[in-house]
Amino acid sequence: MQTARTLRFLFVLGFVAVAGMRAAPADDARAALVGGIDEVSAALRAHPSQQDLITLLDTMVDKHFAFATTTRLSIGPAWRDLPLEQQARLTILFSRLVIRTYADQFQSKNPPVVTYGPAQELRAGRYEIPTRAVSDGKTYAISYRMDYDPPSSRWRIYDIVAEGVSLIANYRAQFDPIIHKSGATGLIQTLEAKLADASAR
Amino acid sequence: MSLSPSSHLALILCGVLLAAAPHARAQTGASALKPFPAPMSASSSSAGAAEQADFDDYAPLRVSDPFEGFNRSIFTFNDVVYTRVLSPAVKGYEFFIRPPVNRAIANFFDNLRYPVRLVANVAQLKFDRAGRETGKFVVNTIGGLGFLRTAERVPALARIPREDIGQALGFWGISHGPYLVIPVLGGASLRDLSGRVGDTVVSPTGWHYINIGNRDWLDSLDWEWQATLSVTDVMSGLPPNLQLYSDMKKAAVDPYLSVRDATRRYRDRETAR
Repeated sequence: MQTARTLRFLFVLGFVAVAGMRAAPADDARAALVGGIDEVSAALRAHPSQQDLITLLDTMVDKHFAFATTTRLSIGPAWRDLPLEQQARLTILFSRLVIRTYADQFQSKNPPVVTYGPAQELRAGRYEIPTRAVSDGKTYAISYRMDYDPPSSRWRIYDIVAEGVSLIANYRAQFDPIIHKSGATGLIQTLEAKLADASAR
Repeated sequence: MSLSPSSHLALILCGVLLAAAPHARAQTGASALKPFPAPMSASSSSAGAAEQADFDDYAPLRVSDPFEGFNRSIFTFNDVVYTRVLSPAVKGYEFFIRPPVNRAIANFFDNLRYPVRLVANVAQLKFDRAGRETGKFVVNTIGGLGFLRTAERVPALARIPREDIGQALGFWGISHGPYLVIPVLGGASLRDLSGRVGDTVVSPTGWHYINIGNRDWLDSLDWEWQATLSVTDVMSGLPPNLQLYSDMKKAAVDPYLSVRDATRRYRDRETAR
């Protein structure tokens, strides 16, 4: 009788532990996203200049964004055959472009009011967190895809899906023909030209 | 839009026929209608297989674009229209009509387009949503003459997925057909363009195209008033769309492909809801 009770207790304990373990990554991913968005929102409330905002986002990048993953997935299978220097160069150029774009969009605006939905598991170790962002009286459905980075033990954003349009998928649609036509060198040149053009603006 | 009723109908028919044609379906492929992200197998054994699955999730949509060269030239033309003509026009408009007032005007025209949402919902057998749209129309009309979004305070009437006739065509399995860029109006699949023509006909401001509905209120207006009404309708909806276009152009390395991909994914998501 005593054994049966002990077994039952252990069983329940084990179940709770497993359930706890299973729930943890989703909660961690969500908490990391909330923290990241709060950090950016706090910075935006100070209405920084565009350059200050870019500098600030630059410092937050490694903490909150998995740009290596974002770049790899935006380039697609061709990534595997690229030498490390080209992979590194593409990651730097692409992250600069994305940061500049976001700095442009958010500068001089009040940070949106964000409500978070429950995290959904996409694949082992990847989570998508749906959010609703209210800005200037309009509501936008924006989902964040999070990836766990073991070296830094952090959950980081690798894709943003706005109203069904994924950032990675949208760039992949643009990069594919360029890589097909002129390879990674062509894409590096295109990105460099785009950044030079954007800074001349 | 100054098309005659018969050309409206011809366009819709052309759209339906072309989009339903087998060759169009083959070009668009099943992947165009595949929900995003693609179903994922959690049991991918090796890291290589997992990486391949990652790449597959983000494989570009196969958009049928047989007129790409022509579309791109219209896209370039539209870019000039948006940046050199419409953006300055919107700035001038916003100087006189401030954004909060403009939002009220946009709400008014949006409320007026209730028949479009009603017809699209009923056409998709979404009777519950049709009922909620009706409730929303009544509340918005009584509680602010359509200028205020009073219905948003009622939980059952807030956040109703927006339906239109293009989505109704998608609901009945009509595929997108070729992607077309129309001067000024921008790009859409033939199916969605046909849907937009349908929306215009069903919308009260378009009732003078066909002999349905009570058109007396519209016919009784002088042409100056009719023109003002149409221009205000278009102008009130422009600012957010032009801003979105400008943001996308800044971010893109190939704005044409960026807009084409975003348009298709956005429409597929709306149709699936």
